[in-house]
Amino acid sequence: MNAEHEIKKYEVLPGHVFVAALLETVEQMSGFVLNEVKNDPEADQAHEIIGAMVLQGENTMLLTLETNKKSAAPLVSFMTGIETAALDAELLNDGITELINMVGGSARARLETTNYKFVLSVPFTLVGNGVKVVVKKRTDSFIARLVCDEIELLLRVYKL
Amino acid sequence: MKMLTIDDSAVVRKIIAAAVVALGHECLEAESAQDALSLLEGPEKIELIFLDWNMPGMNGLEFLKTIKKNDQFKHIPVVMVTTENMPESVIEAVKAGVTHYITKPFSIEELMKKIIESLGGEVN
Repeated sequence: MNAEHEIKKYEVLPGHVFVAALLETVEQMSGFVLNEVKNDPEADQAHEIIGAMVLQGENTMLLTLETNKKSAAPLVSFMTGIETAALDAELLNDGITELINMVGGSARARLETTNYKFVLSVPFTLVGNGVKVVVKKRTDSFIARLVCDEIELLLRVYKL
Repeated sequence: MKMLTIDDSAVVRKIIAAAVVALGHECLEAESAQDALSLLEGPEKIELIFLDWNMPGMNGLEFLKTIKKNDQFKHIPVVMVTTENMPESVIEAVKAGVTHYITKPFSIEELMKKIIESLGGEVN
């Protein structure tokens, strides 16, 4: 059998692939090394910025990165070299949008030869106090909480 | 030396501009290919272009093909900086005349190395 045509089959959402893509992206672009910690569903998960992309394929997914301005500020500051005090909301939102764009691109390459192969939509951002994505109950999903100092990011993948 | 970064993301433009300035050059910014064409046709002498692929309106590949057909601009080296990381995309860009190809995410060191190489310098 030609190895180029072997398709790896994931039985469940390959969330670990997206986590690896996020860890690499944040470290390369900002220098921060995130750690995955246990997610507490009871904890306050109200966020202010959600970067999102639709991943269209045999298994279509919604990829989101949730955070708040307090976390986004040091990330974008270290990415751009601009001091946190000089960062406006537009730059913070754009920084999170660009991060999810890079995570999506990186994950696409990692999943190219699997049953989760996909094409990317344009990235977009949802903003507002307590903004959240609501999907139908029992939607298959994956969640990972990643932290470094004052930075906290919530990565979610929903199977649509 | 003046360089131009074309990306619809302000954050990416700022990252590239910071690397360019750190190397002692000046960086102009355009958030679309159309704005970039206007800048190129103006008085500024651009000597290196950083180009995103996926942008609203004219995309980066179309922009690249446009300037490579123009005798006035075709000599300008172009570094593609994009999330388009599939081999067929890289080949398409190389065929269209791109000088270097950087996939996002990238490190600042990698970016600086490509800038130096694009200007004919050697990187140790």
